[in-house]
Amino acid sequence: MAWQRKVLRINLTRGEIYHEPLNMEWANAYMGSRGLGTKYLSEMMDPAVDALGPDNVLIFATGPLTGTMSSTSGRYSVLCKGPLTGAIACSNSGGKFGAELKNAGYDLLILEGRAPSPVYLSIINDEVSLKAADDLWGSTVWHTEETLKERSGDPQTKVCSVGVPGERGVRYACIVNDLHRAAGRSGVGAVMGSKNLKAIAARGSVGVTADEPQRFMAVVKDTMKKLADDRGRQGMTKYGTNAMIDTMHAFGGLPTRNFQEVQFAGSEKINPAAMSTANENGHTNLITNKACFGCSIGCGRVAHVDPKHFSVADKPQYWHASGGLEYETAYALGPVCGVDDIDACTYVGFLTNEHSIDPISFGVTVAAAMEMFELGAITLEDTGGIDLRFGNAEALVQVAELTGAQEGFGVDLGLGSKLLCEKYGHPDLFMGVKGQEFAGYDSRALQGMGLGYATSNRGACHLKHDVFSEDMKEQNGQGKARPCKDSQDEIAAIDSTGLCIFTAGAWGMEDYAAQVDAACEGEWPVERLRELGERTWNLERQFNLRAGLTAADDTLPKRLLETPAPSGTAKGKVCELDVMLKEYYQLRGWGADGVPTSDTLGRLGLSA
Amino acid sequence: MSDYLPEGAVGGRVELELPAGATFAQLVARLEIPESERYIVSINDTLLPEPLEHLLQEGDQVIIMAPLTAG
Repeated sequence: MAWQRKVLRINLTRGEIYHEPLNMEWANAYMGSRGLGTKYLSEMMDPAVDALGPDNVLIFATGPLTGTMSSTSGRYSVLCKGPLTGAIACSNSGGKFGAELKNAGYDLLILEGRAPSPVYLSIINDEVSLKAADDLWGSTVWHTEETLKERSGDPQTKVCSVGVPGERGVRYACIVNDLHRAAGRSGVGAVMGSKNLKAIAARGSVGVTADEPQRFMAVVKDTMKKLADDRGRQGMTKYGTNAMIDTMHAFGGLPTRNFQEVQFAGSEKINPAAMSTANENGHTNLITNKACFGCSIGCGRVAHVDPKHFSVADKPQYWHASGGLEYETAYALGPVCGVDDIDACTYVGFLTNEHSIDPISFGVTVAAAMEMFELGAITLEDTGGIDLRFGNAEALVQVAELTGAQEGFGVDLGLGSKLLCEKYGHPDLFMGVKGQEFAGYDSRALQGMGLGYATSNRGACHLKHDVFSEDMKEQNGQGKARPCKDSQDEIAAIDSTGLCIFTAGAWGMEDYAAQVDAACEGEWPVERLRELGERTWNLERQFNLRAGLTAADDTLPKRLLETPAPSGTAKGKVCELDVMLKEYYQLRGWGADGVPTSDTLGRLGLSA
Repeated sequence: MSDYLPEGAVGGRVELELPAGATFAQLVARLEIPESERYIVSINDTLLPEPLEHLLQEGDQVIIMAPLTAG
């Protein structure tokens, strides 16, 4: 139970559709979603292939708790080789699409090959078909979703799709579902586009059951109350994730102007208070909050742009309500670009959803371009006349529109920061790891975050570890490796359940284990979850090693390792990565070369 | 943490007068922050993992931040 025990496999090259039983041996070892998807991906493809070629495999993976009555059960993962990084991509999304796919009867959807012409996939329980999408090619996410809902005749149909950046191989294109939720990172949308797959429309009514329904309901009731009573959860509901912008500014860990600074005075103009305060036109940015499927947190924001703002004054099609600023969007379109214009940031956030681009990678790429523009390495001729200085909100809007349409300088920005910095002769200005741009935390102020960034299997990522409490105690490399390693394993397990990691502040591992144990056959104690998390982490590492990555890729930009933080609580400090990394490899049971030892692989049931 | 700011606060900041020799714990009491609340404290840009007994000085800039979580 909880698992549907069924995999939907599509060969896009041949247009063939297969219904296959779920490999329960793998499900018992990797549970679901991130873990199980990693196992299937590792077994089905050569990690050395071209990420945008037909031999890459694209997997949509739900977890055993996806679509159940557990709180936050709307999560699913998208896995493939990532074009931004050349490493494994595992991008997680909420909304309602994942639960719909599960309710249609599938644990996993696996897509191989490349369709000879544009298609979309229609799934209505076990009625599955590939349909021509020539008329949708070149459309935005929003147009595609609206069209496919109308075409299905069922307003409950859930859609995920890519826009033009996904079709054109923008290395940080994402897959957007339910208009403004995204499998956002590592370029999974470019892989979907490379397969000539425009969209997936899903409708399910099979239902999801639990192994012990009565016990499962009792556990869900208890864990929901725990979540409801948690102060962190209450803050997340009231203010959204963007509350972090005030904390990071005060702490001195808010990356500003491409990480040249760590505090941004303009954060007060784009923080939650600014979102809920009427401007001089009487316009208030924030409308309400919004939850994903089955979620009792509701961290999402619904906002609208002031119709009088320059960005939309002549574009009434953008005057409606849509996904508002969350912390990472606010950071990447605001401080890191030096922009403090809440309407410009909100509008550009809309564009990233409409066109399927990861706002983190996009914003940090723009920030690098801004620094190179101010250095004279990028010229007005390169930008097509756009004055790409830090803080120029008009320029941010212009390059976002160009990137969404893949026109002009937007084509260069679609390369991502690493390749852009190399193209214009300043590779040291790339702010990321393994080709993927940083989230909104500076590793000089948050040292354990630096280790997490450096060792994340999908490139720089803030969501695969949790060392925040240790980072608050001492700003050096001591005592960070153990909590980094342990939290990486635990989060790999949480990601594999089908639940959201925003529950982790309220729930301990025993709360996840209790839900899985009641929903799935067999015994699922905490230690089993931790072990499958560690197994998953090491299998991801093995994928990357086979793809050609080495220990040399577990590093940070010179700016964070050599240039001290200019202000804040970490003033004068650099990230002590070397201290942490050596200890981390030892704790992982890896050699000094970053390769898991045979003992470690044997202990976890992995083969060399 | 802005829920605990007294009247007169602007932009998340407020200036307060405390008796000489006041500790951070007295500031917490003045702001009516409950014991169950979790927060991070820096004083004059220095993190204080155990701030309650810290003696405050005239002119100190105290920042009380919500705990960090991934966002």
